[in-house]
Amino acid sequence: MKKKASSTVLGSLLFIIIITSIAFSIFSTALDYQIAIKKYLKRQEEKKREKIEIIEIGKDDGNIQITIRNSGSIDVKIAAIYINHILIKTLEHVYIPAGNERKITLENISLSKGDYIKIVTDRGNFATYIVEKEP
Amino acid sequence: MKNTKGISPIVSDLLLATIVVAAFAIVYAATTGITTQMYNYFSDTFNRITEDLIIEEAYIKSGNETVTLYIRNIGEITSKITSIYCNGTLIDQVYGELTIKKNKLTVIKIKLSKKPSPYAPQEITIVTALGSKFTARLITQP
Repeated sequence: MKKKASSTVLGSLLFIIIITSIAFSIFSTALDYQIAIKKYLKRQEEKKREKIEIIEIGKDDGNIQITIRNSGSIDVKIAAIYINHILIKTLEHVYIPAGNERKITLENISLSKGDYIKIVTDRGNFATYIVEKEP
Repeated sequence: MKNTKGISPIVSDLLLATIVVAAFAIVYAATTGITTQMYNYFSDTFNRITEDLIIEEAYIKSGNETVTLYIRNIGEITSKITSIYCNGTLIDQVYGELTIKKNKLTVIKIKLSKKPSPYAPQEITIVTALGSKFTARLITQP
């Protein structure tokens, strides 16, 4: 009699453990999925809010100076500069707050009419500029 | 008479325990396999959502088979490029670092199977180890 009762309790415990494990596994997977989707949507939303433009190409002390305006509603990080489809400079800590401008200086670079400049952000957005007259 | 009646309680308990352990081992092996597969499937799916690459810059010049691709990882995880296609054709000759860490840029040179003609559209597709595909269309410069 005693043996029968304890086996029932053990059986119930085992059942509860199995059900709890399955429920936990499903819940954990659903939570991971939700976090992944949330991150993806946030990234897409930030990418859409980001907008930069090159407003001026000038010269300062013989160096090329590119003025970039952040006309979006989110801070941007400038990641790379290309001239005529060739990587000129990668940037690590060049941030522009929303609504602000920032000048980037390029040393030992000369530009001529028709040169194609591309500035890329770390979110993958970019701004382009074609040099109309030699700075 | 007693011998033919049945096995002793100790033997029966041992037998029962052995059967239970064996059954548990079979069920454990089966469920572990299934749950591992499920975990891998969902894990890859989650990673695919967080994986994002862009061809930041590329330039194709007519008559020149060599193309330089600047690829940036703008996703949340490290990505590994397994193959690159141009207009649906697998590119055999790929040079450069194919594993790209988060927020990092890699420069990859590929050699097209034939010389591109001016203004010809070139659809470059990058495939990663997780199975994600990223496509960019470029026009061959004259």
